[in-house]
Amino acid sequence: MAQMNKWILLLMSIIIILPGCWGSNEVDKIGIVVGLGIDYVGGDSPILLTAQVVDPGAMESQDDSGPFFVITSEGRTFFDAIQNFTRHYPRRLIFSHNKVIVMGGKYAEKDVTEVIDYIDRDREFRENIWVLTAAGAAKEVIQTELAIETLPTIGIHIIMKEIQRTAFANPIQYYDFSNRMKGEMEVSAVPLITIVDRESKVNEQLAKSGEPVERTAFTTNKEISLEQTSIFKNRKKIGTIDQNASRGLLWLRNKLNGGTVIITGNTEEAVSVQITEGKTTITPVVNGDQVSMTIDCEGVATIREVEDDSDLGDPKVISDLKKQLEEQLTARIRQVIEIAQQELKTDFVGFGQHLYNKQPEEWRRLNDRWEEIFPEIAYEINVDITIESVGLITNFD
Amino acid sequence: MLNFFMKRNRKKEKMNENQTLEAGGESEKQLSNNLLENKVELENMFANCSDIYFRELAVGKQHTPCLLIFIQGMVDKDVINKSVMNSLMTCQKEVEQPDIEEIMTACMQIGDVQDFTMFRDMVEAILTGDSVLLIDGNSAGIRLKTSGWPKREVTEPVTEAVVKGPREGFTENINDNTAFLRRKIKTANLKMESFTFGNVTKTTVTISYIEGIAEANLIAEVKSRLGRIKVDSVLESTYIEELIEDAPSTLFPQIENTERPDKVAASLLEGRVAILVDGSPFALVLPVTFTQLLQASEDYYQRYPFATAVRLIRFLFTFLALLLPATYVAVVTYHYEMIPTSLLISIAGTREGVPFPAFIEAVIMEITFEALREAGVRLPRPVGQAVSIVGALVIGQAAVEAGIVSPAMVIVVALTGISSFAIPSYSLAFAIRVLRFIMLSLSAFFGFYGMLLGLLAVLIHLASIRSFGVPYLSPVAPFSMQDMKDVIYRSPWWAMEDRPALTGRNNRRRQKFYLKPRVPKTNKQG
Repeated sequence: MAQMNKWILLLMSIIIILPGCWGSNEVDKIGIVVGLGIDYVGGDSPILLTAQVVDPGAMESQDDSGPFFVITSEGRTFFDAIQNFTRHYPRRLIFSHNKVIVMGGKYAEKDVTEVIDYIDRDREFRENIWVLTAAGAAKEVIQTELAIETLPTIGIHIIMKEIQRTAFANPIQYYDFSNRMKGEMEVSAVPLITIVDRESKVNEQLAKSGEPVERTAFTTNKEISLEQTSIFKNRKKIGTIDQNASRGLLWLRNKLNGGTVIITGNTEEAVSVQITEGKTTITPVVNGDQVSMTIDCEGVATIREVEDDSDLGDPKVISDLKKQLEEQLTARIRQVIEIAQQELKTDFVGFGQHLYNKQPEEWRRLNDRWEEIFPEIAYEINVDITIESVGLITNFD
Repeated sequence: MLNFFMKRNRKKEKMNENQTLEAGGESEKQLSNNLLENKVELENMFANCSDIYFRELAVGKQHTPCLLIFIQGMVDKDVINKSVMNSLMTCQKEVEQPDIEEIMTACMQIGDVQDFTMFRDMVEAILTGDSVLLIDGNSAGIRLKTSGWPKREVTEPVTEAVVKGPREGFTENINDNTAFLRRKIKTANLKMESFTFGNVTKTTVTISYIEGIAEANLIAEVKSRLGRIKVDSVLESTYIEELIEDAPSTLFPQIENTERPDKVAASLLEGRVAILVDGSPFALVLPVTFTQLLQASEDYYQRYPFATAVRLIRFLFTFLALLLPATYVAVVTYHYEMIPTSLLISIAGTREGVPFPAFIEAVIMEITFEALREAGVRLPRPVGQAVSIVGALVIGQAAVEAGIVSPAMVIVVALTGISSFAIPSYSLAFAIRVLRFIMLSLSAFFGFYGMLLGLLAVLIHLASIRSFGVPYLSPVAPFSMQDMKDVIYRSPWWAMEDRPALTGRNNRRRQKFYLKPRVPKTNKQG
């Protein structure tokens, strides 16, 4: 019995000694970081971090002060910079609710190894945060306000979730990014955020068309825009691809959930088509050192808007549209592959990955020379789209 | 040191015995045949008892002196006047020299009449509200069952109200209570064994069970545990409960308390044993398991899908009652990453500017709530409502506005308070209310880690308790598939074919198999 009591005493003391409330931190003593930007500024403290921190009190009281504030910190390394936040910010920052990590243009072009290593090692960062790159400074993205959403980075988080439906960008989460950077190919595609003064641009256009609009207090100066995609290779940003190529890339990555295509046929009038489903199969064929790819894209589309008065009840018209649509999509996909093969000479379209998945032996044999082989790969694109519906009405009149 | 204590205890024991003997005032004295002698003796014994009444009478043609003794207020005046006095007066003309036999058989217009010769029996009869007739020249007396005192009406049970189901509850009168059971279970196998406990109070305690369903072992065990009780008073059934339970130091009740005769009847039919105590509207039912304490009698009176749904909600809220404040404090102090961002931001917003740490805040609010609840029970009814409004306003509104507590905490405490009322058994709810504070402290100091350890400790403890030989967590642990029919879900009555295995193994079959109603065959053709 005495023996047992000793054991119980030991266990009790372990409970009390090992954890304990010094790990505690009241929720009103923490700063909730929802977005983090990384910039390279050079000098002694080359890393500049910009954090978007929630101001819960302001969220509650709805007064004039913004619901968030942006704080910055510089440091020799990533970790150093994070520690340096405590020099001028009273609350402990927690990163477990961080939604977005934005890499500034300079930083992305330099080397992103550091941030991958830190986030992999850290226990607070989540694996499902969105990875983004900025055309300019990441700080600018972090401090740009967003319509409706009180917290801009939460807004970016929602945009990232929704954008796959319209297929304008290639959203990527951290675990995916990290795996691709550490994987066989060491390439990745990350959405690129540009900051544009849309208000001025739009007003200018309206003025040009003869209907000038006054600037009001409600308008913002800067807005984020997601169009291009940054391409990473060997943990460095090596280039960007434009909107159409980004959408083609979604097909090649078999990530397509939707998207719109404007068919401009022989006439001036356009037909808007929405793609509702898409599936891509890439089959590699290896013949010695000759590699070729067969890209089969299948999809379902709905006609959403017709400007001319062609008769959609006529199967011939539909099959005509189908043909044009398929041609347009083929062109998009071809464009990406051309950029990859000729311009960037980087396999971000995933040909190597398909070869690795389907014929690992061949991949192992060709792995070392993939850089040389990739630009020479012959490919064949077969797009097959079914136009399923023309909407609630067949024809306008 | 230990020796010293034991000696003192022994001394105490001796003292106790002396005291109880004195209080009982019993002796083996016989009645004298001299009426005056008996009267003097009685008057001495009941000196300074203004409520005892001696009525002197002269009975028979010889005008033999008689004495009618009773305690005012404990006898039914109508019975005394109309039956006792009237019959004595009418038989006056016929009886020559009255003796006990004759009076008993020929004169008394009253049902329950006994004779006695012992002085002790006479005192007991007087004290239980019967009246006693002594006749000069007889060394015996007659005990007349005339007891009748003000009683509370049969009312709806306060602690176990139902929407659908019988609405009568036990009263303080044990005869009424046994009659309730007898009216529900009309078999000679329903046994009622009565004992008297309490040297001073002489309280009737009745064990009730159904012979052939309840196990003989269990009945013997109950009797043996009751047998070792030597107390001076039993004023409520809890006196008995605390003297016979298995684990006296645990928070959890191991004997069920109920005000509902239908619940007791159902328990008896499951092979359990009930103990009724005179003067208490609460019957004890044993053995009991943890899951039975979470079953309300209404579960069996509503249709089974609804009963099952309600039962699931009850399970959920039992957990909330135990863990909600602890979870909240743990999340807010340690584990912010476990809740959605927007929720965290709202909570952080409400906590902004609150002067206390979440734990202190929770303790203040929980204790205030418990105090309000306790005050609500004690307060006179007309005041109660006013106080509960003030309490709600002050605690809820003003404290939040003053920035002393956060609105989120008010929600948590209110929800916890409501949840603890979802537990049907008041004594189990009490255990959970106390444990809540332990859980709260554990999670405040050690986060979810501490809370889980606490939960494990409670689970281990529950698994170690037995109630009259039945494991407290059965039929979940040890697992019995057959008895699961009435744990998480309530099976329809046509599927309740067997009694619970642990109490009803004497007589498993409750009803015919395959009682599920179905469409008659003739209808199918038509």
